[in-house]
Amino acid sequence: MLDSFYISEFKAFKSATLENLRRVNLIVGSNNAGKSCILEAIRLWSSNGSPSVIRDIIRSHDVDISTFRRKRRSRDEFLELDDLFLEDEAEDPVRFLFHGFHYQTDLDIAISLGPSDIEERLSISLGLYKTTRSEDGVPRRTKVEPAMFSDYDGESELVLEIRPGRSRRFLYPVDTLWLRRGVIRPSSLDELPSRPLTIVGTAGVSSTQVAQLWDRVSLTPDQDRVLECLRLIEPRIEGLTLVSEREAASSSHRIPVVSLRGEGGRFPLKTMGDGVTRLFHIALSMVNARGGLVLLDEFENGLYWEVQDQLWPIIFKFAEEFDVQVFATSHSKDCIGGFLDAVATDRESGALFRVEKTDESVSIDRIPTLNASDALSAGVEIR
Amino acid sequence: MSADAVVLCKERRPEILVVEGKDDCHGIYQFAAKKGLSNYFGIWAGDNDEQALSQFGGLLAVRPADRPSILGIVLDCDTANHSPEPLTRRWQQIQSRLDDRGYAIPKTPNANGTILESPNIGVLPRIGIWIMPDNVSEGMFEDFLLSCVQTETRIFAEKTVDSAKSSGHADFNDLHRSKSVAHTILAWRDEPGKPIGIAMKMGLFQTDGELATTFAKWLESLFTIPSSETS
Repeated sequence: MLDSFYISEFKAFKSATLENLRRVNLIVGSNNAGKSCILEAIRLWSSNGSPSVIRDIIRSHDVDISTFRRKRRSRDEFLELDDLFLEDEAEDPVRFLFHGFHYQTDLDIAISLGPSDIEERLSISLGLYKTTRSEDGVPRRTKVEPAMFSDYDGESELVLEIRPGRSRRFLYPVDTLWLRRGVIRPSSLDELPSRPLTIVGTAGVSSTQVAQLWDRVSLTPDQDRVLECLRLIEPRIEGLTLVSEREAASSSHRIPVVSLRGEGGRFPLKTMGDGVTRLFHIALSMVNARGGLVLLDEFENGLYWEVQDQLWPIIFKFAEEFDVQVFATSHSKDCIGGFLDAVATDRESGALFRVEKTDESVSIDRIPTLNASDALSAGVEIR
Repeated sequence: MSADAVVLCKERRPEILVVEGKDDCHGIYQFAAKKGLSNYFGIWAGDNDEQALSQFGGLLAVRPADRPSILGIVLDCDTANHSPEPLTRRWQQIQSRLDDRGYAIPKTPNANGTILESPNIGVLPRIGIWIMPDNVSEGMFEDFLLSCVQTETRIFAEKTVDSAKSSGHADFNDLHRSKSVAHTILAWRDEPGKPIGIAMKMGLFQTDGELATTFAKWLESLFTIPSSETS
């Protein structure tokens, strides 16, 4: 379990720490305060700085990468130094990773993410590298020092230096992030122990992902735990499976269907309402993250408050049972209320954080859960 | 009076004193006014002790920028639950609201009223705790008021109230005996039956006794001395 999580120079965060994390952690704050950014930071750390996660995070900014690809190509054709600094680099989507886009002027700034143990922190920075060939023709990257853009001579390339922990480092050319054929994962990354992590985003889990997660638990006791959870909202659910959509029977696209007690036939899960689908995604993600992390972005999406009240105790129970650490975000008062009710039985099991935008950064404030419960019952606003 | 009362007993400002009822709110406000201290803080009155504790804890949960810089609480030492004994129980209830914040909380309340300096000025408030009547004995705000009444009068009123109870003319809960005694005394004044706040304003309570002076000193050090001078 993460004891605390430090975020520095990452996106909206100059420097902040989630202190004294617990098994279930709820992060609250207004829209765009930086809640989702924390989940991205945890995901990035958990992936050991995987380039595909970096690309996903940048893409979530609605960056049109195809435009960028064209730009890069034209830059290669007309390699003009001035254009490079004033326009192309300013547009480089990789800037979205760095707080205040500092990399443009200062390459020494490094993103740092991870727990209190510095050995376990992930660091990401940018460097300029030149590729030279040794006498026997083996290519070799060497860093251009000092690493300032003004030293750019047109022959070096911008490279992500990714350090998952202190002793390892791998280099990843920024341009490679935008290749049409997708992200190449450095093989050295595969040697690192991966941490199980599942994500339920604001829009849920993709159908491909759902199929993967379901196949892992299908016909195991974990499958029953998922169904148990669904019966909270729809007690008539007897069984669940994934089937190919009728219109595209040949495709691998599969959708969840359920059988209902007292009803013949099977029914697409989505006809049971948004809440059931959301619950399915959450339960499936939790049983699939044994020993790892679950990220729930905007927990309350699609869930009525009665369901939230019922769901929180299950999340605490599952988190304990499956040895999962949960990070959820919310801006709903009902959601906070449900969480606080659930944590009241064991205050050591959950922590509440408030994130707030400040002038230069984002601040994280840990609110003792008893104080938060007090605020709710006294009608004092905490968000 | 009623419109004022709403503002008076839930005044949002950086210095807040939370109390557990309207009588306490008006009584303490008028007491502070007599001592020239009423402009230094606003009062929040809960409907009961539980609500006052929630207001106290809740004010510690608001955004740091909206948090009080000084937060005091005055609670009665009259919890009905006798295990643990009321003073310990009260102290635990308040302590639990301050956990995990870095306050240096003593094991027992200070008899002169407790003041806890902020462990993080600008983020967490200075805290003041007064447990009625005197941070040591069991009792309530009305016991404090009775210490502001001539001893002979108080003893006579106590006898009267006890006799009313024993002869079946009174049915108040024994926990509220001092409340009954205080209001009995107020019923005997020239304008009978004034509420506590008004009675305090009219000077029907003596505010220069030992306990009243200690309480006033606590209010004064809590609300009027800047943090830099106490640390």
